Amino acid sequence: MSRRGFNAILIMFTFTSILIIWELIAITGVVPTYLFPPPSKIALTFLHMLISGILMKEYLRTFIRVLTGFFIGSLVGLLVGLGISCTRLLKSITYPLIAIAATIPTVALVPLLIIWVGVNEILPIVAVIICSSIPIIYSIVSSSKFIDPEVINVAKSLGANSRYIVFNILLPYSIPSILSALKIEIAMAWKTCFVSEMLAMSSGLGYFMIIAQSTLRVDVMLVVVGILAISCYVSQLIFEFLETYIAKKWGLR
Amino acid sequence: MTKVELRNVNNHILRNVNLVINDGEFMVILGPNGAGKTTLLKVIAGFQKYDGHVLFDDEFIDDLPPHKRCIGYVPQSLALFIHMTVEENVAFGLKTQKLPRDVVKRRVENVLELLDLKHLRNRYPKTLSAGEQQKVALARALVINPKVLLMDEPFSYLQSDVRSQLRLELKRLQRALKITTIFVTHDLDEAEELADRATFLNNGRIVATGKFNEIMYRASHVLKELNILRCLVKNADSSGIAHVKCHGIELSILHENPLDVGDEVTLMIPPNKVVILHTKSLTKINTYIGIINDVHNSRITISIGDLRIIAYNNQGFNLKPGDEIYVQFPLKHLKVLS
Repeated sequence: MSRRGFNAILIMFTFTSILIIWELIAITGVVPTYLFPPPSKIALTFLHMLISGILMKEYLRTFIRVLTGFFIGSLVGLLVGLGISCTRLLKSITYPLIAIAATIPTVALVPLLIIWVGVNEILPIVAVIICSSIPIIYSIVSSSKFIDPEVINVAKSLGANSRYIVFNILLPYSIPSILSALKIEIAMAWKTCFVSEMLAMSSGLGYFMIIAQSTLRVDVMLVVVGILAISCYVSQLIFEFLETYIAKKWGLR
Repeated sequence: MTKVELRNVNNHILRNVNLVINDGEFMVILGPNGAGKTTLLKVIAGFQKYDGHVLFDDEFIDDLPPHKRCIGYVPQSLALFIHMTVEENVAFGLKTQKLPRDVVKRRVENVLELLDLKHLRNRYPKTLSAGEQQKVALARALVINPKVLLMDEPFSYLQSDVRSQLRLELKRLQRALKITTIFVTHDLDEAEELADRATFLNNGRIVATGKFNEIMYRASHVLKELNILRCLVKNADSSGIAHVKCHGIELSILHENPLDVGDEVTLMIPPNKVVILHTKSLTKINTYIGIINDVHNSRITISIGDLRIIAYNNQGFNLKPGDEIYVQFPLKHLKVLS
């Protein structure tokens, strides 16, 4: 058997064992099931929520917010990043600022945004925009800082003006680092959106979490957490796939 | 074919550089590290600021930005565009000029054919061998029909067999296309093989310009690192081998030009070509016992009688000053400069 197949079986085995042990603990009644519902109960709750359509409704709300914010944020990041990379002076002035800004978790800004933006549909989107644009700006600016200056020289000697160089050299050269930044940030975008919904919104997965908490529906809360985790993981996989694809195609690894 | 001229060029490295490179000429720029060889290329390309003038065919181009100078530039790092295929890399310089698609296709095709790169057209640079990458960089520079080709130690990362093969190919192409070429190197073999003329730079100044052997002779006072030996001819015959006396030792040399007994000749052997041995080798030609004066990492200085020689301890012998060692000067690496 291949190593890969063996690993897959091992993972499945571990996963099923955890579920079985969890189920057994619940059956023995060591802890009350309303605090610690067994997997079977959680699965039933999930099915019930799926059929009633309530899960889809809230999930779509969050999904659209994440997607909109992430799209606008990436676009803004791309434009600002390239703009800054064009001028050496601007680059050297803003680089430390951007580097610091990139370390701030946007979740920490949500209470501030509630005051500045107010409690409305725009709030989670703004939070996601901030969380996805800054890392992109950072990766473009830093990869343009480390690009071999001879690459730019050669492009110039071949008749490329500054604008041509920005779009045909600088931008493609930062794609690998943009993708690896996006891979991390897409998960951050989900989390940020979720937290802002928890704190201020009256719809979406985050809101649903708070409602479930207030009625002590631990099973519902676990379903929501599971869905959040899977969404983060799947969107990360998409960017990881793109990253590997580019690296392989260009022969970088 | 373009004549390139530098008039009184000065900047933070170059000092009053005056140089004319005739149209279609292969000019090699030589000199120690930090002499300003690369800077000279960058001035011609317009990448670096300078005072003075650069002329192409007697026209001042000082006000032209790099992208309007029509230059083929091959840097040491090659700087291939990693996100483009070989074909796209080569087409880059034509696409910036917004030429019609069929013209771009035809010219790219021609250059790929010329350099035998057709079978690699869809590959990405990082998947190519060093020699292939080298050819792509050259193709990319040639496709725009540049007025002048600037090459900055392009072969420095290659293995010696690929290196000499590419050298031949470059020389063949340069002859065929009659393109004015300025080639920076610090490899003397490379310089001798390629150069129509050569220029020796030191501390930003031109020390000598002319035929390779001439300039090496004239530059010999800055070439302490190169083992310059002044000798007297003891006997010479028509077989092409002569015997010379030099600081008390006798050397055999190969010579192309006729030598007479009593002539003074200047010989040169780069330190990396001096062979050092623990035991006397089978070939006894030009082998002497020397005493080590000084060891500095792999660089050693050796005394043979009055003669002091610089060599490299590439075999990793455990050497210390005062040790005796055999020193051999291989015939083919003893160059006659005058």
